[in-house]
Amino acid sequence: MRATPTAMQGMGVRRNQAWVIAVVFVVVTAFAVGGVLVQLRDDSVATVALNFAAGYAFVLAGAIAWRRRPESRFGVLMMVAGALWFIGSYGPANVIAVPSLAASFEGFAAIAISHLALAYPDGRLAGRVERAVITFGYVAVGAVSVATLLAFNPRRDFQCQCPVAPFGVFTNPGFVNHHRELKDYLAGAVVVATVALIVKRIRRSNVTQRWLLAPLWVVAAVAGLTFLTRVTSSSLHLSDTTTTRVDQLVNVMSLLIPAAFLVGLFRMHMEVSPIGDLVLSLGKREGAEGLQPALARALRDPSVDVAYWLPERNGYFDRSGHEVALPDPTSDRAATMIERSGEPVAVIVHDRALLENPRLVEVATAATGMSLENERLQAELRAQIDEVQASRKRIIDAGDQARRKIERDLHDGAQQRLVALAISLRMSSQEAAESRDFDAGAAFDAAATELRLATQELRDLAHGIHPAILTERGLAPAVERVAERAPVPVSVDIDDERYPASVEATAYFVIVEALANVAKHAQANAVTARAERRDGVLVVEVCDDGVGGADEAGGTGMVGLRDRVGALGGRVELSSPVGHGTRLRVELPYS
Amino acid sequence: MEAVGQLRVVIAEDSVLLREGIARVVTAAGMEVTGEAGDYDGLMALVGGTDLPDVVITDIRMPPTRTDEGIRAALEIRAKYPDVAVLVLSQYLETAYAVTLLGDGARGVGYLLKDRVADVDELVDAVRRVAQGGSVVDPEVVERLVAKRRGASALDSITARERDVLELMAQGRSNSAICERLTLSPKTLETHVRSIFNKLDINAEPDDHRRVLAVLTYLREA
Repeated sequence: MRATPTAMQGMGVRRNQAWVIAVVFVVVTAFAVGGVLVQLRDDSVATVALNFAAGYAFVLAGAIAWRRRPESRFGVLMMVAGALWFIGSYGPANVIAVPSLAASFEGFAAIAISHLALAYPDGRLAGRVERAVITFGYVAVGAVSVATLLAFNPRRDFQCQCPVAPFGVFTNPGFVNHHRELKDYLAGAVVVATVALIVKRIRRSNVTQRWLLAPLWVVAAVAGLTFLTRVTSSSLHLSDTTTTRVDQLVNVMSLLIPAAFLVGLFRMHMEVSPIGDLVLSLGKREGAEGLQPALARALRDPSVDVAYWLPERNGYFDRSGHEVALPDPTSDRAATMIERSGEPVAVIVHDRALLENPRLVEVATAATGMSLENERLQAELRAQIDEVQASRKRIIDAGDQARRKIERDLHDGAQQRLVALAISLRMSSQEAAESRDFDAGAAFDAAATELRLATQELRDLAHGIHPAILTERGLAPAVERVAERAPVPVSVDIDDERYPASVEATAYFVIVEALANVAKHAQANAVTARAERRDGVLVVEVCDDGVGGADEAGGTGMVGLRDRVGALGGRVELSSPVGHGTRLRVELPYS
Repeated sequence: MEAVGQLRVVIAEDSVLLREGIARVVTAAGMEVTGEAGDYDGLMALVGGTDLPDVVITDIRMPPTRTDEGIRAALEIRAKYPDVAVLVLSQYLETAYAVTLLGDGARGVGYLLKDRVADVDELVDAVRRVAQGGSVVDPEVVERLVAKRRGASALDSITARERDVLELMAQGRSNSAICERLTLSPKTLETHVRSIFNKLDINAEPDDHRRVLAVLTYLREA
C-alpha cells in the first residue's frame, strides 16, 4: 500500500529531473566552453584542448550518472567538480572583475575530486572523518580565495588592461604571488588525507566490494602520480616547456578519474542499480539499525520487512524477536522466501509491485548474504530470551499457584479434621471426668494439648506457604500481620491498592525475607516497610537503622528473591554501608 | 439481653466433621442448634423470616469462593437483624478482619481463632457473651496488638498488672469477669482502668463495649 504510490512518485520525479539535468548541463557546458575560449588567448591549442577534455569529462560523466540515477547525488557532484575545473580558465578575460574572481577562486577542483572519491558511490560522505576532511578543504581553500581577492590588483599582477583591483582592500604582492602555492599545500593535504581514507576503505572491504571500489584505485593512483610529477618538476627547476608538458600529462591522467567513476557506476547499476550501494553499505553499517533500512533503499520500498525463520519456534520472527505473519496472498503485500540448501532462512515481505522484477529481490537477498545469517541468529537469540523470560514468569506463577493450592488443601482438609479431633478429645475428656475415670481424662487432656501445638505448627506452616489474607485483602494487611509478629518494631506504609497476584506475592515475599534478615543480622531498633506505585511500577522498600554491611552473597534467600523479581522483569537494589543501616529496594513492573 | 430459655444457635461451617463437633459442644452446654449450613447461601437462607436464631456461629472461608464469606455474612446479618449475634471463627487471625468486624462500634459480634472451639468452655463463654450483646476478640489478636505497641512510650508506662487488665478489657470481658480472673476488688480495678485510660489518653466511658473498641482502635492506630 505504501510502496505503490512511492514508485509512481518516483516516475514523476524522474520526468521533472530530466529537464533540470538538461538545463544544468547546458549552463555548465557553456561555462566550460567560455573558459577555454578565454584561455586560448594565452595558451597553446594542445594545452587548452587537454584542459577542456579533463574538466569536461567530469561534466559529461556527471550528466550521464545523474540521468541514470536521479536519486543519487553523485552525478550532481561530478558536474559541480567539472564546473569548478574551469574557473581558473577565465583568468585572461578582460572583462571588469572576471580576472580577479577567476584567479582568486581557482584551485577548488582538487577538493571537489577528493569529495567525489569519498562520496563514491552514493554521493554521501559516510563518516565523520570524511566530512571533516572535505569541509576543511572547502573552507580553507575558500578562505585563501577570499584573502587573495582582497589583495588582488590584476593590472599589476596580470599586466593586463583590466580595471584596477575591483575588490582590492589592501595590496600585498607577496601574498598574491604565494596564494597559488598556499592553496596547493592545502589541497595537497586534503588529497593525502583522501588517499589515506581510500586505502583504509579498500582494506576493510570484501572481495565483491573491492571490485566496486576500483574507481577509487584510479583516483588514488592519479593523485599519487600528480603529486610525484609536481614534486619532481618543482625541485628540478624545469624549463617552461617542460612544465607545460607536465601539466598536460596531469590533465591526461585526470581524464581517467571521471571515466573510472562512470565505468564503476555503470558496472554497479547495469542490472540492479542500487544493489552495489547495498553491498557497500553492508560493509559500512555497524548493524544497529539492521538490514531493513539498507534493503528498503535497495528495493525502493520503505515498507520492506525482514523476518527470520526460527526452526524450534516454527515461525518467522523479526530482529526484536516478535513473530511476523506472512501476508495474505490476496493482499498488496508479497513475501519472498530465502532458502539455503532447502531450509528456510528468512523471508522478505515487500510490496506486491516488486514481484514484476523478481531478479531485483533475488539479487538484493543474495547480496545481503552473511548479514542475513547474522541477523537471523540475532532474531533467534532475542526470541529465545523472550521465551526464557516468559517461561521464568510461568514457573513463578505455577509455583505461586501450587502454594495457594497447598494452603487451601491444608485449610480445608487437615486443619479442619484436627480441630474436629480436638473437640472430640475435649468432649471425651469431659465424659471421662463425669464417669470419674481420671486416668483416661488426663490422657485425653495431654493428647488435646499436644494436638493444639500440632495445629498451631500446621497453621504457621500453611500461613508461611501462602497467606490467604494476601489473596483476599492484598499486600497491606498481609504485611501488617508479618509486622505484628516481627521481633523488631516495624512501621508499615502501604496503601490498600491491589496489584496482579504475581506482583503482590513477590512484594510480600521480598518484605518477609527482608524482615527475616533484619531480625537475624541487622541489630536494628526500627524498620520501615514501604510500597507505593509509580507509573506502572510497584516500588517496595525495606529500610532499617541497624549495623549495615549486609552481603547478598551471604544467603540463598536473596538469590531466590532476585530470581523472583527478575522473572517479573523487575530490579533489586541493596545498599548496606557498614554502620548506616540497610536499604532493600525492589521495583516490580506491572501492567 | 439474655435470651429466655435455651439459646438458639445456627452453625455455618463447610467441614461436616467440624460442624458436628461444634454442634456437640453447644448442645452439651445446653443450647439448641436450630440450623446447620455448609456455605454462604445456606447460612443466609437459615437466617431470615420470623424464626431468628439468637447466635450464628460461622466459619470465614466457605463456599462458593472460600475467601471471606463469613465476614460478609456477619456484617449483613448484623445490619439486617440487630438481635442476632454473630461469632466468626477463623483458621488464621487477621487484624484486618477484626477491624472490619468490630471497627465501627459493632456489638454482639465476636472473632475467635478456630482452635478455641476445642477449649469447650471458651467457645461456650464466647457464644454467651455475644448473645448478651457483648463483643469478643480473640486474646491472640489483643496480644499481638499489645506486642506491636511494645516500643511505644505510652504503653511503656503501663505496669504489668495494668497490661493484664488492658488485655482482658480488649477481649471484651466485663469488670466482674476481670475482677474474678485477676482476683481484684472492683475498686482496685476501677483505679487500674482509670490509670490505663489516663496513660493511653483515652476518655473513659461507662460502656464496656465502647471501652473495648476504644482500646482496640487505639492499639491498632496509635
